[in-house]
Amino acid sequence: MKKYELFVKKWYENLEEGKITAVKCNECGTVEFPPVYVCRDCSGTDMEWIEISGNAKILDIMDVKYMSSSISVSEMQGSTGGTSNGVSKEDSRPAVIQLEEGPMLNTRIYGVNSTNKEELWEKLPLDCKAFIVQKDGFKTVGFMYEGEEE
Amino acid sequence: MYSKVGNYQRKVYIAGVGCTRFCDILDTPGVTGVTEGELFAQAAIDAMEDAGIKAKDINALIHGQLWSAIESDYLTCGAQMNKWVGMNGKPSMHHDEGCATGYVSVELAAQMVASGKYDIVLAGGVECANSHPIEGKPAHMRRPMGADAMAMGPMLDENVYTRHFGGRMGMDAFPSQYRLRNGLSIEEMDDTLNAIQIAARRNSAGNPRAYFQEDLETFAKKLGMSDMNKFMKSVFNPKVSEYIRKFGMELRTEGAAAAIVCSEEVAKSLKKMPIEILACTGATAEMGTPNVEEITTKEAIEELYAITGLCGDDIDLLMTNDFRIPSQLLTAEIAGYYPEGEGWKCFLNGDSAYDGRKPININGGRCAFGHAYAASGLADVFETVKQMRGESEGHQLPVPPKTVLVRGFGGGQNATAMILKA
Ligand SMILES: [Zn+2]
Repeated sequence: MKKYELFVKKWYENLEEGKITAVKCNECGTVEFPPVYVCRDCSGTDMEWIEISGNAKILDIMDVKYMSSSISVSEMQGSTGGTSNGVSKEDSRPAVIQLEEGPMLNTRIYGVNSTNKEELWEKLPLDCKAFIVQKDGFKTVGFMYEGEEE
Repeated sequence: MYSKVGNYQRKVYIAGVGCTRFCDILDTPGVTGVTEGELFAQAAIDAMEDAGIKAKDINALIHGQLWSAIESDYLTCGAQMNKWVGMNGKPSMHHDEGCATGYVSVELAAQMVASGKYDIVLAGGVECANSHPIEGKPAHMRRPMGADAMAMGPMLDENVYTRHFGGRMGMDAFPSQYRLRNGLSIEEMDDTLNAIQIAARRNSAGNPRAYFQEDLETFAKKLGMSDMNKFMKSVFNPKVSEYIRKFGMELRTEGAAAAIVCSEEVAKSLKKMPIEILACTGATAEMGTPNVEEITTKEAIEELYAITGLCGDDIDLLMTNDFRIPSQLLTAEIAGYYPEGEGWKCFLNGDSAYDGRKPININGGRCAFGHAYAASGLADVFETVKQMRGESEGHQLPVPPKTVLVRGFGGGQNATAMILKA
């Protein structure tokens, strides 16, 4: 019987060790972030764990401020206070990100608020950097807008 | 392309349709106390009578409902419907594809008939989405849905990675992308979405099954406002997200709808004008996928046009699941019903209303007709069939449409498309 590695558990355990990881398809080189068993491009299942560089582009930003379908209740409650690694959640917005390694995802961009959102939106795509976000009892990944390069 | 291009193994028709009013059970006299089985049966019996058949003539039942455990306090819900429609002991299946469920019901029934396995299938959906059962009490006793309803929203996101990123973009994703691509200002996008809302409410006005039966102009006048531009941006219609205002959000309601799907031989033996299901397609992606609605809708409609050989110019009426109002713009352009990049101007021109150049969602859609999740797709099919036969109550198009594209979308992930032909 084939033995399957537990991808989800390993991904979260890697975050606890300070590593943001993905899997790379050994058949075609496609990177899956976050990890899944089957490659979206070639259907390969031989996956190798890699650490991502963390370099990414912001492709879109939403200025979700109100109750809507766009965000969970817990996120809404969270957005009125609290911090993630010292970054206020009020300074974060839902965003579309593309990793340097290829994958695109709906996630959260930090360092963006209602004051700078529209200005930044007009300059898209912009650079950002992945970082580890501490949640209640587990870690996940967020992306930080660190300003434009000089 | 995922389907084999070509026609069904044999032709498939809709012979009858039924639909209840979409309303609040707890707030509507004469409806308060209704149960899921009764609602489902009301729509199903209407559909049978419309087709001129009886339950004994039907071979199998397809049943759709979301969240049956939470909102109805039961599991294996398809089986519970059999006896309410006189089909106890017959094959039945339950399925749930979020708000796309009702559209998928029609496709499943069509496949069952097309394969030759069954001659007549009943496809129905029911949803009691605006109230809750009371634990330990029978089904006619319900309580208002409170904050616990909001807790269900996040359950649409997968609980592995995406939900915890906190990055769901909801229905703001498309207006934002549309602005990026076409250079609209925030105000132009706002005006466009407001124009869609006004037309949607004009379309539901006078529809006896709709939740809102008066147009927004009338509503505004009652509040002492006659300038619609001001009214649409007033405290009565606040923004609930970056782009979407209150009237551009789904109205969560309760209701049921059903259709009788049958073979050509059966359809031609019945009294009513048979409506052919030319083809059904679908595409699905996980909700955390960026631009999921555009990606899946494109896939579904491209495949639909490849199978049928049709294009946007051939479509007389577009129906699309718009639980957030920008979906009308998204679908109209992808379907080639409105010109790409210029669709927003068509809405500003009033084209989407029943008396416009190219109507959309003639029943009012999810923001005006209402959204009873699993029943909504079948309610759109109900409206389409009635319009095609020239039988629509209160808001019949002067020229009955002959070729209609019905697009479903739900749960953030499933897009479907079908062509109905008179
Ligand atoms: Zn691969």
